[in-house]
Amino acid sequence: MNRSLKNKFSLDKNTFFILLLLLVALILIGTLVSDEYATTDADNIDTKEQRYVALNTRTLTYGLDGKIVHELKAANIENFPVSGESFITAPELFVFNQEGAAEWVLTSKTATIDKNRVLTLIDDVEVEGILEQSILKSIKTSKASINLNSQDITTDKKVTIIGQGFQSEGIGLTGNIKNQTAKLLKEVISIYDPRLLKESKNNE
Amino acid sequence: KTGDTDEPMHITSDDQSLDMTNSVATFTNNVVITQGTIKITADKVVVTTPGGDQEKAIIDAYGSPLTFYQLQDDGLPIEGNANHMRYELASEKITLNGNAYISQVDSHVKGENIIYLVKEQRLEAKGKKVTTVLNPKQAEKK
Repeated sequence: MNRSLKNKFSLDKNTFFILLLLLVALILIGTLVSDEYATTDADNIDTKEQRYVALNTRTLTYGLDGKIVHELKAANIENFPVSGESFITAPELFVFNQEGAAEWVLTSKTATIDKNRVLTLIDDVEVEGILEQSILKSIKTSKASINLNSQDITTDKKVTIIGQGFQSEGIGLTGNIKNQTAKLLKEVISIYDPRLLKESKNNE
Repeated sequence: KTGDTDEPMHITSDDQSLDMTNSVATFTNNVVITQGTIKITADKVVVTTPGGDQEKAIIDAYGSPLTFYQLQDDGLPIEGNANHMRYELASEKITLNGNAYISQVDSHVKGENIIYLVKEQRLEAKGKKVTTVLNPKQAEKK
């Protein structure tokens, strides 16, 4: 009787090992999969917190007067409600003027929004003037923060501003998108070139 | 020199503010403008582009004093200073105001305001007190 039990047991031992291996494999796959979905910035966030992921989103923000203020498109938004932080992939923020026309579009590789509604754009940041008459065509930098409430924009990185017939470079910028003001803070070099203007006019 | 005004204009400064609604760019602290052989140093420069058209840009420079330099076709430098200078790109005209002074080798012009036509490299001194001192040798050559 003992032997049969032993046989059964030995059989069980094999199946036991197989099951164990299966379990280890599952755990490994599980950690691999979650790494793939977590964006790099999420690593330093306490992942014990629940998170919501939205894919291919379009978020519209209206002012108290009912007029549209922003439209945020994104490939992926990960939101952590407890810390109030969101991580965004491929953000596109359209900023509208008083007449309801999209005047600026802000893009970057990734971005974060904190609970004070400060949007920090990271890598290949570009602020582009959409309206024809805007003398400013684009602002380019590697990182910039925009307060979505006041529309103040700031960076301490190198900035390139391209406008109609001129280009400026400097270190650091403060400005306001709504008031359309921008101040380059250090080591500013600007080039005004009437020919740039002629070229841009010929290309139209 | 002829052709200076077709050259791109480089402005370096410690900082620069852009007011896009009014198409005004303000450069402050250690401002240096270069365009071909033209060189202007000032404390503050305001570039206004009426209707955003850079070709009609008006450059107002302020200094204590600001300085102006250009090499003329004859190879001789023309230099000036003043408290305020207005450079109108469209008309290629420079107006120096307030203790305006322009000199070329030994002759110089002083006055409340002096107009300098950059393309023709020609001076027009205006204002109550104008003293034009032409060095005799210079006078003979002319």
